[in-house]
Amino acid sequence: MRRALVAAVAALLAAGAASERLSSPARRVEAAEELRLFPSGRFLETASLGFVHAAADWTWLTAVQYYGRHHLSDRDYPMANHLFEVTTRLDPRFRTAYIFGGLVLSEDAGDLEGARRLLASGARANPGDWQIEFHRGFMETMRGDRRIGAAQMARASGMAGAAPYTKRMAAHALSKIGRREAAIRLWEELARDPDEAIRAIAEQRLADLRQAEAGAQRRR
Amino acid sequence: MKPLTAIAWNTFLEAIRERVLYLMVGFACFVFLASRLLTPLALGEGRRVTIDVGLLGLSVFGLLIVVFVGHALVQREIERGSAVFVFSRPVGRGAFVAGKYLGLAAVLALSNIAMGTILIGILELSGYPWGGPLVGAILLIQLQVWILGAIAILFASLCSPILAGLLAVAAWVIGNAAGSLVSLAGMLPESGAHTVRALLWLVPRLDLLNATGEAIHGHGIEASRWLWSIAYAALYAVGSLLLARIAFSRRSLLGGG
Repeated sequence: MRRALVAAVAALLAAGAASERLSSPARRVEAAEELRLFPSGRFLETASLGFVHAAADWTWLTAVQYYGRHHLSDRDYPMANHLFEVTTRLDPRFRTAYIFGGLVLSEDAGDLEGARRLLASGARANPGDWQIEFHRGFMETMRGDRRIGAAQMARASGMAGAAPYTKRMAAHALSKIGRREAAIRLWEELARDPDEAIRAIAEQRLADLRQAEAGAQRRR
Repeated sequence: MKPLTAIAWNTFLEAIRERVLYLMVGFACFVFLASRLLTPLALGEGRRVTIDVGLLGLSVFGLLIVVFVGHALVQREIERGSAVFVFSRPVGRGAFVAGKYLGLAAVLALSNIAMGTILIGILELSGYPWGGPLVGAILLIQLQVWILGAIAILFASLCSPILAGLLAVAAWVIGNAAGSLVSLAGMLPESGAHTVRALLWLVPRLDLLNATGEAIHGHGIEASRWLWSIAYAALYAVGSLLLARIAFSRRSLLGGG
């Protein structure tokens, strides 16, 4: 009995060693090459046998690992767009996938159009989600059209549940592009904030903006 | 004790003796390990992954219990000769089928409650919030496995235990993937679409009893969906059991089917 147990353990260990040989570097397919064969969202919807959220999680984990691997090596992300699109197709309410995907595509992959598409599909699938709308605006302000970005941030700041900082950021973005009236309206709202520190900042900004507005009117 | 209750109680005890509880330990280990291993890789989405893996595990382990317990429920009684003994008393074949199902349904309820509690315990331990939508998703999985239990009894009355087990697995796969058939119907010409729609009336629509998305995103399940889900599960289970009764009434009790 004892001998049989020892033999069984030895055989299993030997099998483990053999599997190491089988997966030697020469036989290992490059990870990036593997992902070129990553299935489409439509295929995974069917192949997941109804467990689309589990498939979305699996794709999400793959996307995060893919980003991490390339972030630490070549900083090239040719499959990132596909992975985030598949994840969000499988679960259109996966907010983190839109936001993180948008950041990776615009900031790391340099694919502003891809990021715009991803975040726009997120906004369509999640109307009223202030976080997705705010990140759209933030991305536009940093990388794209500042006017569109400021408008999107202002829209996000008016959505239900929006964090107080969205109003500050939107007001700042609006004043930067010269839309002083809209900026003044947002700062006025912030001047009624229960937080004393925020009220002080808002009042200071309001004073600056009103002074600038008065100067502009005098010049006209 | 009435015959129906006696058969149900014996089926329940027999299932517990079949070491079904080991499957629950397996479930606990599966969800706990998956949660611990995958959470660090999920970039802040640990709660989502834990709920997803947990609900998938509930469905898969529910299927395993149905297969392990349900597939041989009828054949074993015939092979042991205990069926002849049962029917020598004033017990109808309908009562026998119903009793077997009630026993299996009780085991499935007990295991689902236990596994659901384990999942909630793991979420609590990890500090992840959970609420009504998760409990709703667990209860809908309960309806899924009760339907599968009735299908398992039907197959067990019709064919050999191994084939019955395989057919129960096939019903689970087709039932969960039935949503894809809906998309397929939209792509086919009219005659093909009619056939697919007819097929959709026949297969167990387990996909309609899946509320993983609601549990992850914290959206409640509407009252009307509850009512229709309960009605669907009850009607499908009763229909399957009536067919099982018909199949079983034609079956010889002297062994060998």
